[in-house]
Amino acid sequence: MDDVVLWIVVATALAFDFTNGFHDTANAVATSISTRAMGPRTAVSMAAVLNFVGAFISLEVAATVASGIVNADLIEPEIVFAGLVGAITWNLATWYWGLPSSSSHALIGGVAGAAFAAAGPDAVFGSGLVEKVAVPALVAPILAMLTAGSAILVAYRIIGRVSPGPVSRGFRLGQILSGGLFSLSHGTNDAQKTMGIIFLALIASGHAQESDSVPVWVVVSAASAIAAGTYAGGWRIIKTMGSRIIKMDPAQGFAAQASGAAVIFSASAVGFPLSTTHTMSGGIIGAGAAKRASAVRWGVAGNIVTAWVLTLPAAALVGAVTYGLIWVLGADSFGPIIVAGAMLAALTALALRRLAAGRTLTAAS
Amino acid sequence: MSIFAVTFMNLVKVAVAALVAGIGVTAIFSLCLLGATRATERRRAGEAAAGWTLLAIVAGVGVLGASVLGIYAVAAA
Repeated sequence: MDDVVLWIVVATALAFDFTNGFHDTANAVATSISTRAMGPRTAVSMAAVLNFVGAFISLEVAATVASGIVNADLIEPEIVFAGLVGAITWNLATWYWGLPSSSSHALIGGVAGAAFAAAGPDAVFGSGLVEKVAVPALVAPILAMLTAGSAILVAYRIIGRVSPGPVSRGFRLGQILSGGLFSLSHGTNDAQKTMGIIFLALIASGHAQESDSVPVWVVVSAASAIAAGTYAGGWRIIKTMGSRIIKMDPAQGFAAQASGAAVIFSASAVGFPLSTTHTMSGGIIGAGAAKRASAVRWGVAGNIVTAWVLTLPAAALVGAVTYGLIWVLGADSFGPIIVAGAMLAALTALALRRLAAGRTLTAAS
Repeated sequence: MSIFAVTFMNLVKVAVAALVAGIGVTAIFSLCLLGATRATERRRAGEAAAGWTLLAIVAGVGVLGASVLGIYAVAAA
């Protein structure tokens, strides 16, 4: 019976990974699509392939996300499952509202909420939440904002007197490189979190030891799920990040992407799980505000920041409620099966409703 | 079990590396575009453009090198 729950957890983790890719496609492609550096289908295809490749480059984040936030000795597969349900729910809600929020923080919040409901306050390390949620939430957007803002000022200084036509074409070409780098960095960072959460479930169910390395099948399946999600795309968030925060020129798009990739690569190299969403949003705002502060639609930026603040508590609440539901229904395997079945039915109904209304589910619409 | 994977020094390293790489790559790519554009203009005017061409090539190689270095840094970590 334990194995049934474990495989439900693995399937749900891969579903979360899919929503992570779907939700975060915008981070990699929104600026490129907005400045017409690439067409939507080309952009998401390239992002999907590079996310897949990026997942194999580094396992540093996978090694850290499964530890330090919740007490691994108290964690059971049901807690991980409930946490994933919380994260998926928040990802889909913010996608519906077109708000770029952190999938990483949703995942951490969901697991922390479920752990809190299951084992009380001892199961959650406050210091871990500060270290892996609060500090990165402040560092990522501010660092990306400063980097992109400084980068675009330097770029304007260098190319200021050059005729704009060839320069814009050049920056569009450059965006293919910088967007590619950002997709690659997203794969090195975000696919690792699903690997980490599956690894946590394997440890919790006794199928792996903390000292083991992440199994190859976990790496391959997580890479595939995030690539598939990225290919599906989340058009609502692409629209918000590509044109609703600022109307950017190709130079700003390049600066935002290059700065975002630099921040994520630097963080991945030391195993610091930064939010790519916070990073890219900060980069876009920095590139816009450096040119002219009034160019930034601060109302939209404010809504995004509100979503960031709500991410952890909202996902934690859903995670805790889901765990409570599982506990009531029967934690052995009946509860997770019922909840997973209900979630699958709800997602299928949502997808069918959109298709019936004539809306496609992909970014190429 | 509480493992502090992130230290203050790691944070400083991330900030310095990100600022240098983000600003540096954008600046070098801008120099590449400046060189390429000026070289084209000079050639059209029938003037020598070797210096601008060299700038474009060196900066282009620099951007590609920085990109490869970034990927290598993550892979080697």
